[in-house]
Amino acid sequence: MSGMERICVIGNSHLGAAKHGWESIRAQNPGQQLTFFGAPWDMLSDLALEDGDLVALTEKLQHKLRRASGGLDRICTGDYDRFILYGLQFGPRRVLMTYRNFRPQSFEWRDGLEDLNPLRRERGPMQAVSERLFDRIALAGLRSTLAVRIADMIAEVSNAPVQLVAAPGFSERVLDTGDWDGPLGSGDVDRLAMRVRRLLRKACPEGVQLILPRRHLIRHGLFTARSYAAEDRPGGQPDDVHTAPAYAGEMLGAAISAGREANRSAA
Amino acid sequence: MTPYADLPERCFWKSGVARADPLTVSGLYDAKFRLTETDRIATAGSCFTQYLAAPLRSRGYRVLDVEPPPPWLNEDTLRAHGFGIYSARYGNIYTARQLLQLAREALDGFTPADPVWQRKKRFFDAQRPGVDPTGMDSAEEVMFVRAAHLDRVRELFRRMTVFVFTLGLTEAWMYADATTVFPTAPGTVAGQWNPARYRFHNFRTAEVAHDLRAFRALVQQVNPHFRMILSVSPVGLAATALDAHVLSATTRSKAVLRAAADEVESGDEGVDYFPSYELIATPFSGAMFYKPGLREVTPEGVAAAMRMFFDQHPALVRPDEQEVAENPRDPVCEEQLLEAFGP
Repeated sequence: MSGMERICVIGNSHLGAAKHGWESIRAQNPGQQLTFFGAPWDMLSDLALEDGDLVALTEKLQHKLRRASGGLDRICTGDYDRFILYGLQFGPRRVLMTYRNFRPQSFEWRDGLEDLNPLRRERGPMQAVSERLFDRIALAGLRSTLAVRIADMIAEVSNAPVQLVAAPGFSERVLDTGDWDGPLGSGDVDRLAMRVRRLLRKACPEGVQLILPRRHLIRHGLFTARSYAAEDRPGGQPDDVHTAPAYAGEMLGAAISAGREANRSAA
Repeated sequence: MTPYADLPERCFWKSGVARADPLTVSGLYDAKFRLTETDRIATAGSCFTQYLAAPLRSRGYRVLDVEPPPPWLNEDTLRAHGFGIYSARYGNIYTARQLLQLAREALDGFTPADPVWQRKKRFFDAQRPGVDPTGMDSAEEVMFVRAAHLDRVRELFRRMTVFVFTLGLTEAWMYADATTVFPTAPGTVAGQWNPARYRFHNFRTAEVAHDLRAFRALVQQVNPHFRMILSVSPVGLAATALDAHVLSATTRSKAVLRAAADEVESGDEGVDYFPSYELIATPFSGAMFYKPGLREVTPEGVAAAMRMFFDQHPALVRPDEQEVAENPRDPVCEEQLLEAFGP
């Protein structure tokens, strides 16, 4: 590869931290030029393939893509040497959501748990399921994410390498509520962390390189370390979902250097 | 004058059947009680009831699901694992004895014999072998999952105000000592056929009526005011274990179930009968509601039964008034992007 490596970064709301994170590591990566495309929530489900490009099916999404990329309203797949899918729902949360209501025998804690999403604090009943069914539910959750859908679309039209930066888990601060004392004390969180890593690897589409957080970024293998979590929302309410730019910068940096490594091996 | 002189049209074959249309018939189902917006409805059985939950919900009724699925599983996977078909993942409950047995297990400490079946080194819940189609790793795992399932069923029986149950079969396979009935024949979905270990039983009218009444009495101990709506499945037997023609066996089975439902319904103000069987499986509709094999019911048949049901239980809301349960959208997600990419 000669000249600048053109990298397309596609993400949901975590892309905000990624953009800031990139600004802090840009100087260390002079050979890379990043273009960001993003939209909040699941708005990117309105992305579709058209003549080999990824295009927005709604004006709303088109507007979001334009804003994040600085004026581009479609993702011309041929314009990029590499794709980084950032977050896009593919992370521990789908497995945590499974654990919240479904419990196989290998876990110890038997009670249902409150939804970690601060907007839905309801507590669901705990359903016991087989080990296989637990994995099947969690894998189906991961395979139905935007990340997998977009990776599949890219694979249809491009041979460029694709990396998937796992979406962050919830902030370590959610443990302050006490709701997770049981799973923590019983060792379930450790079991869950191991399961999350295994399931993320299994659900990651073939040929896509999965980038997981380094140990110092997370606590108990699942939760974003307090110092790397997003700052409080305006009004003092904690944002337990997003990360600080420092976290995103490390993840993006890890993806870029892993990609560089892969390029070198290929050469 | 005759005793028939003042009877309504529905009482006469000519006006009630010969001149009526199965797609628009009225008076065949005259509900003993109406469902209301405060009712918490539970469903179980086979056939008709598995299609009831969604239309009830879309009309504003509250249908319980004590073992709800995760939001992202596709329809095939959901159904293959017994999610969303009935109010709990108990699979099809074909016989009244199986229903009573489930209630005794959940509420009365009953332990069924031979609870775990095997197939190719995998382990299955003998009382619902179909809900985990690939089986489990061990017998202990089966028992762990079943114990939690029974907790949910107990909760269901306590909370429901109306229980809708379709009677499916009279023929069943039991453990040799007759303490336990199974939903499927050993060796079909899982387990191994052994004539010394299992025996066939064809329930009689008095037994079915007894089991339904015993179920009702047992659940009333924890839920005194719940009501029941019974129906009989019009789906014929796939096979009979009797030394008889399958058509005779089917006719006998349905007659027993229909008579038992009448026995229970006619003496109890809290039990109603919904005549989907009469609509679909009699000369009234000929075979118009059956698929080509003449055993399974077509979607049109299900729709006709639903129409008759909802004529008596009108929608509480119009479809366009339905509250759409949208995922709450956290504004901070948009703010994160605006802050990074905004002008």
